[in-house]
Amino acid sequence: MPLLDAFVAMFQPMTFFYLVMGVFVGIVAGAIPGVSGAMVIALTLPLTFFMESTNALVLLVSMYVGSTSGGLISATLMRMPGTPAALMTILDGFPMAKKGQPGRALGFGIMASFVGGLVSWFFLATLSPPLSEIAVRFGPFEIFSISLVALMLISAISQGSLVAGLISGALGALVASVGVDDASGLVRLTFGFEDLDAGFGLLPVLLGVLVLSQVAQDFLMINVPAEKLATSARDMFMRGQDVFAQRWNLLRSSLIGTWIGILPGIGSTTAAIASYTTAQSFSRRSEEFGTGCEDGIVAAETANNAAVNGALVPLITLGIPGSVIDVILLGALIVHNLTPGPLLFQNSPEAAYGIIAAALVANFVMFGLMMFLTPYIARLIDIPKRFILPPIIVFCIIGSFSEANRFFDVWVMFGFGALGFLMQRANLPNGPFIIAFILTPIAEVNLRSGLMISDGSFWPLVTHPLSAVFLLLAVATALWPIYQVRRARSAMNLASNQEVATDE
Amino acid sequence: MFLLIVLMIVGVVVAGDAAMMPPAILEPLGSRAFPFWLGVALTVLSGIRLVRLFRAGREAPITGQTVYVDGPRFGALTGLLITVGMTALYLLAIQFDVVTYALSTAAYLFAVMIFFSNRSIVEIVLVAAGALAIGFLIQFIFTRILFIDISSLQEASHAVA
Repeated sequence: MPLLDAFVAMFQPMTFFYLVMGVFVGIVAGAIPGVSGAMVIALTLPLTFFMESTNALVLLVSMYVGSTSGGLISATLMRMPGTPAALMTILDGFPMAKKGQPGRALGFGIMASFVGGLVSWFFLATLSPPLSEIAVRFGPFEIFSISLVALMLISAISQGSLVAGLISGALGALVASVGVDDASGLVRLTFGFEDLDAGFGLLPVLLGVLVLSQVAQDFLMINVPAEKLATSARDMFMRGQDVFAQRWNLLRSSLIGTWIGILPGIGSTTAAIASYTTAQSFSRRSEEFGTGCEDGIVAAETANNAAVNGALVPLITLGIPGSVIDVILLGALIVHNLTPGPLLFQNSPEAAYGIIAAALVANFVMFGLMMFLTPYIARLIDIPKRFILPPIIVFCIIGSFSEANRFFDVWVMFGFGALGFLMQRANLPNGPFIIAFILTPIAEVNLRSGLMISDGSFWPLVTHPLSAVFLLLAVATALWPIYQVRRARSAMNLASNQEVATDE
Repeated sequence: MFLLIVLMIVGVVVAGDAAMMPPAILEPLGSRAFPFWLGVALTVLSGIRLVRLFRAGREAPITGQTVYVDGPRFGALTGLLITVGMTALYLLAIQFDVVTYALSTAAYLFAVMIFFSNRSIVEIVLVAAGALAIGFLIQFIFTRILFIDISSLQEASHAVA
């Protein structure tokens, strides 16, 4: 029973220490607006270089679980999502807290986060091993097609603009192409700079685009004070009847969150939005949504936590990241010489099952820490950003340097930080950039080896059933936003025509 | 719009550079296909977005409108640019080994933190103490606990210089 062994390993003193530490740091990072989970996990990655691989993964997965839940605190008390995933929690969490029930709002959110994590963990544990067995049979065309689906999904959901997402993705893919091409030995796109022969390292790019660009954004708002409501542990413990009244909402939101999390490239934020709108349409109190309705808090928080475990399914079975944070976990697997994808269960079962076990234990630890420490963690939100941001820059410098002991990488990181900042100002999302940076080499290697097998024929892309299904999905994903825009335009035209008719 | 124009140019340059690479040997696609088509895609997509923005006549403003409330009064972008300048000085201090890593880090942290503060005597003293503590703590954690040789950061920079 490898999963049972993994659970036993979770309670080894050092492993459990990393797990609790990871959840705690994740919650705090998630609670502080401007310090996202992706940021703190990317910063922690270089610290794991010298750790045993399972412990490193346990630490990062625990941070993932903690940061997704921690966003609830600032969303409820400050009307600011600590993480993007807590965006929908604001709509009802803050109004309920403002009505004098911050403990109850937080209690519902924590309970929902816990249940969402539990239900989705069941799918993670039961789906991952058999899926990985199926995925082992995937050929290069199937892997190329599924990488394409992931890239298209990411671009399609990027801030509502397919073109902006595709530009960001194309740029990330180009950056990944720089350096020596392993297949032919030719040097690509270095323009004579020998330092670029090895390509851009994962950490300088990650830390620059994800962390430094966000730090720069935060510096623009560094001394802007935010309204914060006080809270206490009172009312945070839910009564059985409160939980029972939310049973269908909890189950439905967990399933929505898990399913959206499993889809490559779609993260917790989309899961929370989908779950919230579904809960509103199903609720008998739909008119109360947005005014402090517990159904809304439960729907949003259940789904965003369920998406965390859902997103781990494609990561450990296919090596396809489900979200930006999963990209960092993918990077962690590579850094620790573990092969992401279907072979992970065969070659490194302790790592694959370790991730699964850590996700569950971290969920319990998150519940305990949030229930008892939330009032104290809420006080950490008061720390001014001018004391948080400069040390983050210092950690970024060490992190980018430590990957290859090259000072050049520090400058590269600052270059990508500037690029990420400019992209954000130009409304180009940085998520597709990072995911394309990771997925493009996988897609290229597999397409080229597939074409070598098929003597240059592209037909297997459509004649292989699974590959054809994935390609269809990719095309549908690309066309879906265009269809949505046209439908919205025709609805607007219809509405304006009706207004004109009414006026007349 | 400026970034999109730059990206269009980057796309053209990349596609041009990829087109000049040797053709594929013993494989259908070769090394140049991906960068070439990605360069073309970047140019076309940036062009489409540029045209859309031009037609819509709007662009995200590059200057922040934030006014600092409890700190010094200057524009947000000015504050960011000054921080970038201080960070560049910090990197040069590491690169040319002006002072030890811990001291340069403490000085950098102090400068940035105090720059955005009210600069009361109490805060200056507390920030100075905190920055020194963090500087030495970071050096201790990385060198003694995580075994990352920070001094090699300076040695590496000498090699580059």
